[in-house]
This record gives sequence, structure tokens and C-alpha cells, in this order.
Amino acid sequence: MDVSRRGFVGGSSLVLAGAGMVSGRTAFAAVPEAPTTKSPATQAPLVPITGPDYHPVATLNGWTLPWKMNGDWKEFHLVAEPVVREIAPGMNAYLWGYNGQSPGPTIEAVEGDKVRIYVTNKLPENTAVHWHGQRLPNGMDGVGGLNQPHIPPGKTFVYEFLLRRSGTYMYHPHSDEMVQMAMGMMGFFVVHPKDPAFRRVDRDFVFLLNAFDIEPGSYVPKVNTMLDFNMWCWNSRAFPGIDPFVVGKNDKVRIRFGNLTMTNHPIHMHGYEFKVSCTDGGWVDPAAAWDEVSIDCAVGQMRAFDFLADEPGDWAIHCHKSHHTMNAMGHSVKTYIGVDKKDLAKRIRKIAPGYMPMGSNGMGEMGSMEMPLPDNTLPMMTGFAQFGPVEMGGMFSVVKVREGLSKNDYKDPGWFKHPEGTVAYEYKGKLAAVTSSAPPDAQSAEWRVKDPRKPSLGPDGNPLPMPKGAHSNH
Amino acid sequence: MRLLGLWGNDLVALKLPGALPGMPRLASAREIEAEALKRRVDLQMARSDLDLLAKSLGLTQATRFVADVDLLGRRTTDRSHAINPVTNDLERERVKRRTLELEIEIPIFDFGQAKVAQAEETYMQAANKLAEKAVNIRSEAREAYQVWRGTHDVSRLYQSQILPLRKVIQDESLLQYNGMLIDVTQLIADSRGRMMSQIAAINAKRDFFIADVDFKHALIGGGVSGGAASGGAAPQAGGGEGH
Ligand SMILES: [Cu+2]
Repeated sequence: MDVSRRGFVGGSSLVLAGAGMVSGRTAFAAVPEAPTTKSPATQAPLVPITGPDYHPVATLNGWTLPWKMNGDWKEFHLVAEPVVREIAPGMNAYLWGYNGQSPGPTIEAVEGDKVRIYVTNKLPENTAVHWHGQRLPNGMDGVGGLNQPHIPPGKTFVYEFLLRRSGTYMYHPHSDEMVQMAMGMMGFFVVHPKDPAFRRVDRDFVFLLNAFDIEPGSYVPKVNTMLDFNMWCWNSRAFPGIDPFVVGKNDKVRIRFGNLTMTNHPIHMHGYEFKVSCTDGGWVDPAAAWDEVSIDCAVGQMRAFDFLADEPGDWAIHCHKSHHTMNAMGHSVKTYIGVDKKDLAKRIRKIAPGYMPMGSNGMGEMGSMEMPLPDNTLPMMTGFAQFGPVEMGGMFSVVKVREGLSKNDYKDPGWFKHPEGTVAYEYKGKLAAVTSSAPPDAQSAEWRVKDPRKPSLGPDGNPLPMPKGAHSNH
Repeated sequence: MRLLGLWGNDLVALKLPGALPGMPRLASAREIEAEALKRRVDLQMARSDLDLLAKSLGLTQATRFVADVDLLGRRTTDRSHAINPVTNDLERERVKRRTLELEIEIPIFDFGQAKVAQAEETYMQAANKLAEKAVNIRSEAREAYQVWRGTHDVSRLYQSQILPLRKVIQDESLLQYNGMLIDVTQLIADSRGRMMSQIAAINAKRDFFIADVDFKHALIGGGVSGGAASGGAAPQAGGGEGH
């Protein structure tokens, strides 16, 4: 595991400060260390060696926070701090996160566990952590000002609660919330069932949907953007930076996600139908779930779906809003489909050397052209696979289902080797003359703007008398 | 061609350079006054007239001299500064030198020797006129210098800052166009903005060279050039629409 040890944060003086804040409810000897990681790679699931058993999750391009048992308390230590996150190779973002990355590490524990979570604030402003979806004492809910004092910079607060329900949760700030979430502060929180056999799966993936607005050529997200984001991410990664979901054939698979962007995302997986098994409100009764292939996740919601991976292959998984499978793009770029720019291009090149005409035949060419871009900017559509450019970006990845994977193998197995004769191929025989339908012309009736059967309105708003013997094409 | 008085083979021989020459070195304001006093033909003529007058009045023995003004040798410094567009460093240019000790000396005579009536009045009137002329020449030199220096600085601002910035904008605009982040019309608008700045820069240089001629005239005597500065050097803000 690629985790470096931060060492004991604070030492004795911090303990005293902490002890004052929890007013003597605990007599702990030391704050657990706060591990940190610099890697944006998916790290192997953290198999529990103490406490109750469970099947750990795999955090997409992320990791699980190690803990320490202290009596019957499971202790974690989150450090809120500025981080550098690689969104995809070729682009770094200056974000705020936890323990070295954005999103923060996944917290995993078991129903019935008592958790004590230390939160050290290394941000330049107050913060507070809200435990989205959890049943807990009101004073542990983490809304700054409402449930607790904000955590000032440099201070450490302690959250203590009993995990009453198993399920799919997340954590995020509730102090300057808009800015801190726009800067990438969030993390996954999985509470495993007490009975390890309860709705057990073989592979359990988790990630958060998040969005940033990072001006091409810059590094810091614009925190006041409400809707017009340009980086649509899963765990602060965009295609082709999102790792594949590596799955063994016939594995029972669960994919869980939560939406901390400001719009909904219909998450669509190819190749399978699946059933929603869990939301942030709890487990879904199997009798109440139905098969589907896209599941919309509204803002502030979480969904988990299950499927049996019995079809090998490289199956796309993505948000079905096609703008969300693009990287930074200009929404004011005009449409040039059908516009012949050959002649014009010569003239434009005279005043803007280096200019290349684009867009006359669609934008697919962008996926394969690798033109110089502003610094620290991913191409709008990019990525290459075994058959050519994938022409994607943003919220797009691949579920790679393979035979013969060992239980803990999450390494990218490369591209799928298709069995002979199972790939779409070019027809090389003779075609009968293809008659394409004639393009509609302006005179044809079905392209009229106005219904010729209806009378026109006069300036007074009343219908004009129909001319005698009026024809449909006057 | 007519103004240049060229015809026949001269016309064939005349070739205009493709670009205006570079900018000359700056001079200091005080140096300029001394230079004008030394070189102005009209001042030399006035001085000869005064000598002649003295002789015609029979004044030969100068008893003392007075200066037109006290122009003493002093260290003078002219400063200018600019931001280097590449390194972002502040660049200072200093012109520092010892001014020539130059003043116009006007001899004063013992008017008792005069053989002509009202010789003192006649001579002193002419002497004062000469002094006035010298003062005016200094003033004219300073004025011409100010215009010269002003147009110089405007032109230099174009060369050292506005044009490099315009290039940065167009280069970045092309990168953004490549990424389909902006429309081609924005790229064209930025190219246009750059061209407008180039035109303004050429006009600024033209204004400077006209001011340069006027300035040289002021140093050697009389008159100004026919071509007034165009005023086209006002910094161009155009081309930024749509940002
Ligand atoms: Cu989406």
C-alpha cells in the first residue's frame, strides 16, 4: 500500500487541546497518526485485521483510511489540507482535500462499531465535517454554527458516534460548504453489515461524482461557478485518468457512488442490467428493485447497484449526459457542420498562422488530432483503445470483466481479447446501389414553419380572412 | 517625388526602406539647451549683429560680461523605465552626464568712450534683445525636447510592451481555439486586435520621427516641419471585444 506515515501529529500539546474539547469523555493517550498518500492510483482494498470481519471496498483512484483500535473505539484521523490532485495525466488541480488527496480517503467500519474521528484543520479557514446519511447524536452532525463550533485553522476536533446502520454514506464540509466542496473536499464512508454474509459481493467499488470549473491554463477551481463546470469527475479524476473497474468473470459486483456536483448524473453501464441495492437512506428491499441499465443520481444522493459479471469484455460505464463525458470545452464554439471552410481557411491562416479549420464534418476529428493546447489542459475528447480514439472525457471509464482473475487482483488487465468473429467488421462485398433519401428542401411541406391550414393573424390579433382558393404553397 | 525634387534616373534609384529605423539614444534635457545655444544659426546671426553694432558705435573695450542666464555645469539625470514583457523585470534606463557649461556671454562696454549719442541705450537694447533670444531658444529647445521625448516613450511602450502582449494573447487564443475552447471568430478578433496595435505602433513611430525632425530644427534654428504628428499613436484599446 502506497501510504507514507505522517507521524504523530501535534504530540502532547494537541492532546491537551483535544481533551479540553471533548470535556474528559475520553482518557486517550495519543491521537492516532494521520496517514497520507501522494498517489492518485486505485489502491488495494484494506482487509481488516482487527475488529469484526467484512469485505472491504475498492475506492476508485483512491484508498481507505487505516485506523487504530483504542479500547472498543475505532479511531481515525482526517487532516483537512490543500492538496495537488492529478485529474488525469497532463493536468494537475490545486484543490483542498483530506490526507494528501481529493477526495479524502474512504472510511470503512462495521455496523455497531463505535468510531472516534479526529479532524485536524490545516486549511487557511474554518471547516467542519458532516457525516452524510448517518444516524448520530445531533451534536456530531457537523453543521458548523448549528451543531458545533467551526473548527478553526490549526485546531483538531473529535467526532464520536455509534454506527447504527450499515450502508453507503459520505462525508463533506458544512462550513463554507460551497467553496470547500468546489475545492474538492469530500470522502466516501461505508458501514459494512455486522453479518459479513449479508448481501455480500465479491467486488465493491465506491466513488463520488464531483465537478470543477478550472479555466484552461490554470490550476485552481473557480469556486463561485454554479452550473457551468468544465471538469466532470469521478473521485476528482476525468477520463482517461479514471481507473477501470477490474472484475473477475462471474463475480458479484457492487458499484456505489454519491453525487456532490450541482446537477444530476444518469450513470449508465453497458453490457448488463443491474438492480439498485442501496441508497444513502439504506438497503433497498430486493423485491422493490427492478432491472435497469441507467440509474439517475440526483444532487446529494447516493446509489449502489449490483450485477453478476457473467459477460466478459470491456464494458463502458459513464454518465449518459454527453456533455459530461467531455473535458473542458467551449460552449460558445459555433456549429460549422456543412460549412465549407477551405477557401476561408487560407485567408484566416494569413492573419492567424497555425490555424486549422475544424468542425465542418462534426468534431470526431478532435479525438485523434493531438494539437497543442493551453498549459495544464486536457483535450476535450481524447483517450485511445485497441481500435482507435475513444473520443471521450470526463465521467467515463470501463468495466473490465475477465476470466481467471485472482480474488484480490485489481490491476488493469489491458484490452479485452475478443473471441474470433465477435467484433463488428467492415462489409467488403458488393452493395446494391444505396438510394439515400433526398434532403428536404425549403419548399417541401413538412419543413414549413407555419401550418398552412391555419389562418394568419392580423395586427389586431384576429384571424385574417382566408383568401379564396388559397393553396398550401402561396 | 515632386517634394523631393526627383526625376528621371533619380526616381529609379530611390528605394524606400521596408521599415522605419530603430530608435536613437535618449539625450538629456539640459544638454539640449546647451546644444541649441551652440548651434542655433539665428542666435549666431544676432550675436554678429550685436558685435557689428558695437563696432559701429565705436565700442571696443569690453569692461565686463554678463550671462544670459546662469547655466552652470551640473550633473543631470534623465530616467525612464519599462516592464520587460518576457521576464517581467523592471528595466531602468538612465542617461547621466555632465552638462556642458554653456552660457551666452554678452560684453558690456564703457560707454564713456562712445562717439555716438545714445550709444548706451542703443547697445543695451540690442544686448537685451540678444539675451531674450537666447532665453527663447532655450525654451524652444526644451519644448521640442518634450514632444520628442513624449513620442519616443509612446513608441517605445508599443515596442516593448503592447506588441509582445498582443502576441501572447494571439498565441494563447490559438491554443484555446485548438482545444475547441473558443470559436474561430474569437481567434480572428484577437488577430485583428493585434493588427490594430501594429498599425498604432507604426503610427507612433511615425509621430516620433516627425517630432525628431522638429526637434533637430529647434536645435539649428527656426521653423517646424510641415507634417504635424498624426495623433494616431493614442494607445489602441480595440480588438478586445467578446472576452
Ligand atoms: Cu453527468
